[in-house]
Amino acid sequence: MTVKHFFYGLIISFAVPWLLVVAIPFESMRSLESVEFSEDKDERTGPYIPSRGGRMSNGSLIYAAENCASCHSQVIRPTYAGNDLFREGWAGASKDSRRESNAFDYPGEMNGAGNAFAHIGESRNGPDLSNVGYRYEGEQGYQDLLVRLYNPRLLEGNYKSICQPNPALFKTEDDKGQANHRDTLDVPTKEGKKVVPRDTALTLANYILSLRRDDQVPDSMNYNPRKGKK
Amino acid sequence: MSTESTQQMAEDATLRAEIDRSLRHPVMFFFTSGAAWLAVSLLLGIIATAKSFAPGFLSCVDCLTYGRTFAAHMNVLLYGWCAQAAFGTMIWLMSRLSRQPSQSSGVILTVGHAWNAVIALGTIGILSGNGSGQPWMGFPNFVWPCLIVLYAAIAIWSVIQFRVRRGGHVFISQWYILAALFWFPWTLLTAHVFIHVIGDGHPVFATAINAWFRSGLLFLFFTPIAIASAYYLAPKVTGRPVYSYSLALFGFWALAVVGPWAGMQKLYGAPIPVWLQYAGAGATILLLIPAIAVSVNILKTVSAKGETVAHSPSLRFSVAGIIGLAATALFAAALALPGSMSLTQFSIASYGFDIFALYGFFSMCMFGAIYFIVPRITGREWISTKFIRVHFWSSIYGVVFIALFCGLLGGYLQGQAVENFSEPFASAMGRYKIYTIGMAIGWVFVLLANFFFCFHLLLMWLRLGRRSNHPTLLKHNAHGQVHGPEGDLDSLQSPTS
Amino acid sequence: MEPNQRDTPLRRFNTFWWGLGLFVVFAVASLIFSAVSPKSEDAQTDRRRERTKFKAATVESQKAVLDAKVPVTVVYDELGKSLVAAKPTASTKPVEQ
Repeated sequence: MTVKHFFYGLIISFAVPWLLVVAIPFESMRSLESVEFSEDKDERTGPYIPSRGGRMSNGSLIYAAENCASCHSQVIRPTYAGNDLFREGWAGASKDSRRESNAFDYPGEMNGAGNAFAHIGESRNGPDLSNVGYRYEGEQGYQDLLVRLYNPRLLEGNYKSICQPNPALFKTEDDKGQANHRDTLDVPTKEGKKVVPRDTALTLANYILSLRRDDQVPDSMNYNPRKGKK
Repeated sequence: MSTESTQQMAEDATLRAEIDRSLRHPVMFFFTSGAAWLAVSLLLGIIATAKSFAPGFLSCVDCLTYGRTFAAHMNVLLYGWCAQAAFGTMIWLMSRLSRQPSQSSGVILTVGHAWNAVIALGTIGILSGNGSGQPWMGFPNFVWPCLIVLYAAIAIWSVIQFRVRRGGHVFISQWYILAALFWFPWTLLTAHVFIHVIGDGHPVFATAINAWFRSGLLFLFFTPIAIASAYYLAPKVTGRPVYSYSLALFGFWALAVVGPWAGMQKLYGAPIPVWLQYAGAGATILLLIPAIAVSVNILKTVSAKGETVAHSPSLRFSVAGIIGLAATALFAAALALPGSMSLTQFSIASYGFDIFALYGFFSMCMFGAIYFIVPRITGREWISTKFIRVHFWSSIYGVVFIALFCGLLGGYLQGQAVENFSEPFASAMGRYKIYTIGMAIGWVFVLLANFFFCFHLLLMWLRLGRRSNHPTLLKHNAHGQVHGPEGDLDSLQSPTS
Repeated sequence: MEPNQRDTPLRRFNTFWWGLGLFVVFAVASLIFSAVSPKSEDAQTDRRRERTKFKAATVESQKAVLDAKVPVTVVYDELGKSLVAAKPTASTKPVEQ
């Protein structure tokens, strides 16, 4: 084996998987083939246009920086890969709305620096968050979520949780009256103090509430993503 | 013995001394600062693990939430300790094997300081809430271009040394180092360009590339460096030729061909093309082939010299590391089987695997290299065999307990509880909690081990080692024993080469 | 010790640049690959089309008027003439509410 042959071998053995596993799939997933609704099965027509409400982009920056993904996943795996579809509350609100994750479910997801990056997650030390928005409905849900972000064990019936308190997202300040009560957390504090969320906490809460996959998906959705037409 | 060969031996000894002297400062710098980062990483790891069963622990400190601490722990371990230990070993081995004193020690030392500064900034970035949230790429984005440039300034000299090497023969370790020299920038730059520079790809596929990068960093950088060190130390210390040259060749190319395919099984069930998930899993299982080829080859080389393995600290750590390589490959294959992926994909088994591969395999091989290299470049011998023994056994207990008992067993049980959808999720959390308590205990052992290692290395760095011609052996009344000739490795080549 | 034939400054210099080039070869390949691969129509393109459907229809129906290239002075003359020609008239009383 000469040194020249060594380098040829090294480059080729790396270039082939680089091309097939990284470069080509990257390009083909960069722009996905859109999926059409069909009159017969979906009772509407036109292309499926994924949309999500809320501050999902700048919320995902905070989700990334706080590394929530080290304990929480955001993927409902199809049945070949696990039982996620069947766990209560994970895959949808009711039995009818349950579905696995598809490639259109992550619009605007970013890493801490603002590049496209989905927080699929490292482990499930905490529950999956694909449809966490359903679990915090209405004004009370919003308040509960903020309390939960502040300290999960302050929430009623949740004292066993091992989720982290996030004091960095909140500030404790003097209660001088005339407070905006919507933003004051209902948590025990020292006399004359109140806990209010910082902007980061509000953004993160908004992002978490946007995690609900409840729009109608075409029956023909291909869960094995395909590149769009030229 | 003819006068000519005596003169040759004397010249070789002079050359070796010259090489060691030329590399003393950069290599010692990489090893000592790496060991310091290892200590930082272990402290962060203990805090993170403690937080996972006692979430209130240190919750008053804003920057030490679990997520940030955990990310800092992993990234400091990878780029503070593992990468720097790899650099030191790589530079020294390449110099020795190419029989060239380093001409760029000053540059390497300066760049090494810059590397540490960037790691420090990146760690502060993570802890202050500016991390990127990408596993194994957790530093803020500005760090990556810096690390790549600094890496090039550290590594290019080893490429040059290989090109102008003295003597015709290329030793097995040189293939591995040469490959690792290029695989590191190839994987890191590919991931960096696709995720950060182009940056507008599909979010899920960016995550898939990140998973591919993690596998690449482990199997195409840390693994070949550790193997190179073991292939150097095993024949050197035992004085026996490498068991089989063709097996070594086969093992190398098996790694080169299979390695770059692995990784994307981490996104099993996520919306990326399904064949990529199975290609990643299949390649990870096939990595058993190079791992077993290398382990068999090295263990066969040292097998007749059981006493030397027991007495030489460098060989003892290296052999433990090479057994760790086989175990790492088995661990990886076990996690990549389709039946177990659904259980272990999102459990502590993957963290247990990372720790096992990085500490039980890679770091053990690096400790072996450090115990061999440091006396040579400082001209002093290790002070205390007790310290080395404590380091060895605490490391083994700690990492086996963390990775195999808590990680693997705990991961399966946790995964089973999550998959059992009729049970409430809290039961999975309960299982996780118990095993993290075990992990914290394991980390305390590893921390203890590295306290002794760090302290010992610091003393050596201050040149407070023993002035002795005898190597430090893990044996009572070892005076007069010399392990292995300091001969040229070419003379230790197997006859088939 | 025998002199090392391989070790020449030119060879070191060459290797320096070749080595650096080889370090970054896959970064360059990634950039080239993403630059030359043709853009294709995806769900976002459809989304844009959907959103601008009404505007597209309006633009289409007024195409003839919008595209007509009339000098602006002509328009002012026309307007001025009609204003001058117009006679003031009493406005109708607003309806009592």
